[in-house]
Amino acid sequence: MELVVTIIYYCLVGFVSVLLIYNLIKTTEWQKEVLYIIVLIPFLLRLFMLK
Amino acid sequence: MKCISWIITLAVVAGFVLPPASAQKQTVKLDQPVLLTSCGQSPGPLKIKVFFGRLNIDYVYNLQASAGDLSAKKKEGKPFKSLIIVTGASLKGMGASKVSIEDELDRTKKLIAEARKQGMKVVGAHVEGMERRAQGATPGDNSDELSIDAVCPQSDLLLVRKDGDEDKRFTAISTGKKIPLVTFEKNMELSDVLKNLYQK
Amino acid sequence: MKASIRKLGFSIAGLVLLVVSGLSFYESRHLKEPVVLSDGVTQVMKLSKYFPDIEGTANDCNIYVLEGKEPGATLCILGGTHPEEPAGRLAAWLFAENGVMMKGRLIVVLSANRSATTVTRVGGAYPPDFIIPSPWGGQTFRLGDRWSNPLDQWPDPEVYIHYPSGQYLAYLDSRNLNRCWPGRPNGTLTEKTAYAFLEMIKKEKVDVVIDLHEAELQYPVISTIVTHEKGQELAAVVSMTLTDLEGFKMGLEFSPKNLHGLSHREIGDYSDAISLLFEAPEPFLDATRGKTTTDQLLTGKDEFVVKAGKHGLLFEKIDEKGWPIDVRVGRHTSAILQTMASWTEVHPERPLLCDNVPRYAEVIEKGIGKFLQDPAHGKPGRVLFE
Repeated sequence: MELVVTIIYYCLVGFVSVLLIYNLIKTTEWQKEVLYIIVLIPFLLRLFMLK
Repeated sequence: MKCISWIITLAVVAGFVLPPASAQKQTVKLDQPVLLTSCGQSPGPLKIKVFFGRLNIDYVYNLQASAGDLSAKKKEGKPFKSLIIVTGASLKGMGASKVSIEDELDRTKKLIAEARKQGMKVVGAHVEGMERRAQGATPGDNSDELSIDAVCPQSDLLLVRKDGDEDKRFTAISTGKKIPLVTFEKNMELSDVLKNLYQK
Repeated sequence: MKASIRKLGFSIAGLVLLVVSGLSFYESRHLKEPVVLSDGVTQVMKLSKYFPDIEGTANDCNIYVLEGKEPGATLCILGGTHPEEPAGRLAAWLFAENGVMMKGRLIVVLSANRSATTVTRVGGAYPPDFIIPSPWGGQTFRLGDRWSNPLDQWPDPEVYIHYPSGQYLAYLDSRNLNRCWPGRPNGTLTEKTAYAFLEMIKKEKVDVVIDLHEAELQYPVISTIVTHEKGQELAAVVSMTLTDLEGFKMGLEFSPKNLHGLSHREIGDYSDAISLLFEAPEPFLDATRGKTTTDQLLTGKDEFVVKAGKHGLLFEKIDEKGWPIDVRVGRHTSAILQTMASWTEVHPERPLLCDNVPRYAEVIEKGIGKFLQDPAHGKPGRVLFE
């Protein structure tokens, strides 16, 4: 059960990462581009099981 | 004339030197069986218990001993002959025993009153040094000092580890209330101290 | 076009940050810590021997056994329950690399929560590792954190409900080995780890378990032995003897019966072993500390913690000399050796005697590094990694 919940959480992280990348591509404001990248980094670090 | 003044000088000097030295000498003797307890639920009584065991002294160790325990023993015909209350509070210990410092002070007051009624000697002890006094307390927490106040001025003897008397608190109680003060430097000296106290 | 180039530029910068930080975290997590086995180590096992479910996980740590030349009691040292308290690990390391049991048996664990050694405190700005200098160069150790790595156990519950007491604890403590005892076989990784250790303690018929820790000076349980009621007299004698003979004060505290999850409570309740926990001071953990550096970690010098002391906010003294790591490790090694001696006084038929491990004065005089062995000169098969 614990493993199932962990997998769900990793899927959530992946989903949020995809959303952030999508918004990064779509946005035209440079401040938001920087913001999306800063927020994306820890999500990717978790997705790739680095941190 | 010169000889007489030397004798007088020596006598005066001896008068200053001898009394402090004899304060360390144990003039009080205690009888068994002993009730060993705490005011503040610190682990201090355990240190005395270890030596009681080694010295084969007849004792009962009860951190929450009450006046009822004293009177029950008297009714059985086997009354305690001395009471040692180790001061110093432990919030952890009191929390685990589900008591507050006020509960401890109340219990101790009744214990000492019953001990007096039965004519037994009361020893106020502090054996854990400054770590079980101001240095070991959260700012604003004076439970260690409250436990000392509740026990020591009412005692027949004070038994104190020397480094716990850095501020001369126990010396002041001893001098003010004319209670003999026995101090020791090293924990292991407690063995000899207790042996001398309980030696017949 | 301009926007695309800008976006690409930001993305590349982000990628560089990701790769650099990722590599740093990866290297830190996989840093190899050599252990050069002393001649006294007779066997090395894995924790999974006692609970196969833990095999292959980050917490399947090494268990070092030092069988004595003569039979006696069994003592277990747990180092690394909280890896951010390095004196515990280092003291245990000195036993594994130098100890020779003359009487009785010693079981040494260097990374009780191995997962916690592979991560550092989020937002704590901890250095990832530290070096203990030695005559042959120096050995690097992972610093670690108090809690298991979230990469090994995630997510955390909203509230951690301790098994089996039902006590409510902070959510983070579901990854704190010292809140997960006695553990359970179907729990989280950290609970399984505690369960595995308890199985080991029961199967090996351990008589005394010593859990090594450090504490911030703002914490009241410091420079002390916390003892289960079964070990009260033993702990009292150890505390008194160390204070009298070794030049440092060691207090004594009872393990509260209504505080669950801690080793000093649950090991004593759920096994026949006496459970003790030793605390040494570590200014690195204090919330009032200044810069969080390896220098601060190893010297224990911190002007802000000293200032806190002057305002009466601390439970242990500190001055400009700080609390060097050698002092903290020496306290632990002396306390362990004294526990063996005090145990043997009362149980001469089941003695404990360990040779070749330095006590407090010697550790301070010569430094910990003097007692760490050079892995480059370790005998074949006698160099393992944590």
